[in-house]
Amino acid sequence: MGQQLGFYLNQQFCMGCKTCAVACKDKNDMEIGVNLRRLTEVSGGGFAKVGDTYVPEVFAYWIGVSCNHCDHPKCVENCPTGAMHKNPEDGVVSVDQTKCIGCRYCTWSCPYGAPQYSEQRGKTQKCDMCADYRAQGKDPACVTSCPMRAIEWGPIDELKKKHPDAVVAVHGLPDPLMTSPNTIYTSHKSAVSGGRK
Amino acid sequence: MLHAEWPLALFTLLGQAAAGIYLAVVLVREILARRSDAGQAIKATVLPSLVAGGLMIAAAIVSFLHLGSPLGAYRVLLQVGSSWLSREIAATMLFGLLWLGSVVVERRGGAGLLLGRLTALAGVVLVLCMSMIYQSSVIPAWTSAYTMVSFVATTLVLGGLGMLALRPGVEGVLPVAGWMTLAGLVLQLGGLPLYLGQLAQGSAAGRASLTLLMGAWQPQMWSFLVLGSLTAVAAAVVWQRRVQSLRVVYALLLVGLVGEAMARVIFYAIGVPVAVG
Ligand code: SF4
Ligand code: SF4
Ligand code: SF4
Repeated sequence: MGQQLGFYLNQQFCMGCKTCAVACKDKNDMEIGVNLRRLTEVSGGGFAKVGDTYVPEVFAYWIGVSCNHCDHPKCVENCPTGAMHKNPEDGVVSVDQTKCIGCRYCTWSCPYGAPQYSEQRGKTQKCDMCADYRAQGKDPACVTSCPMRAIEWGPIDELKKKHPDAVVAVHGLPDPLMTSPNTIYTSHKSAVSGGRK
Repeated sequence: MLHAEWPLALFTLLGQAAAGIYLAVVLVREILARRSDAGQAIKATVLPSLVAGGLMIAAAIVSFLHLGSPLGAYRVLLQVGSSWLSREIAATMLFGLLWLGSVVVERRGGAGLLLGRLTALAGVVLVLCMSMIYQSSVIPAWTSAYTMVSFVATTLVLGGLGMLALRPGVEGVLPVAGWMTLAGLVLQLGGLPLYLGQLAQGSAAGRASLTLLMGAWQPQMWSFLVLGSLTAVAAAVVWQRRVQSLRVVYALLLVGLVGEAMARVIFYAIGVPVAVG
């Protein structure tokens, strides 16, 4: 295989504006309810006793996910038609729309909710890392749209070198051992990081 | 999750009923063949054998309704090496072919029991493939071994009760139907507390399933518990007292069927995936 591609997200910068999700939706022309890039808020905390009084100690941060183009993609393993496949060149996992029969097994197989079924098309849709844009030498829509420059893409090894602090396990995400995802995060200061690199 | 899955609920119920009835056919034939000859045994079980095949054909047709793009359905066999869904369809087709083969051979007077045994085996393999589809998902309510337990149980219950309703007077039917129904319900009802405990101790998605089960789907859950227990007791009485009244066995089938359908509806309704966003 060539170089495995992946995403990097900086949770410290992400403010949950959802511009990436909207840019992705617009670029891929997805119907209502089908979201190839999604954001989830993780919040918690409470009151802490300081001396004789209580002060609020709460936190909130965002987790952005699309598809992680995993090393062990359960979606690919379970797809009965071979429509869901991993590109041997760049490791990108995508749905061949000519082969998908809309059985939705992949939507039951991804711990990140990445494959999304489109009622309109009768087929599953999923992030292909903007393959058409990349072929034209452009960056993926979500990456260029982010006003905080919180998303990056590229060969995952290079992203890991560039961001030595980044991890795959962030509190709020499924166990990365399930599928070995290729998205790394600089975790928010409040996110309990599993610390796996 | 349920609204989109009713074709699957129907497909699994029909497929399991077919596999179960055919299993009962083969078991009854084994008993009868020992007492008379294979030809007599086959003759006495023609009707349930035909019904089993018909139900499997109906299941196959219903399964198309689940697909968003059914025209490409022939591609579903392409990943037999890795996908349980491919294996399930392969097993359905194998069952169909073997069933057709045995019907043809039996009609021509061929009295071998082997083809029937292989057909029943294909049915069992199909039920196991069905449950592996759900067990290899990321939905905690489905990944539990209880999925296989309850699918096997439904196969036994619908197979036993179906056989009883179709051939109540035939020798060997009562004990086969009695054993199958009781074994199925003991597995299904007995395994339930363990399954609920598993969900309670599992991930957030598992606990969300449990919340659904104890909340919005509680009436269906109670219906399943009551109907399942009632079926078990009634099946035991029918078996021990050798009841052959058609009214009673039809009523028993109806109660058992509604109980199993309820369990299946719940199964799809509480499937909450581990997912983000
Ligand atoms: S994130 Fe989900 S859809 Fe994407 S490759 Fe991994 S398992 Fe497949
Ligand atoms: S919905 Fe399409 S991509 Fe997903 S498992 Fe079925 S055939 Fe494969
Ligand atoms: S890479 Fe393209 S398809 Fe994937 S999340 Fe970003 S915008 Fe959407």
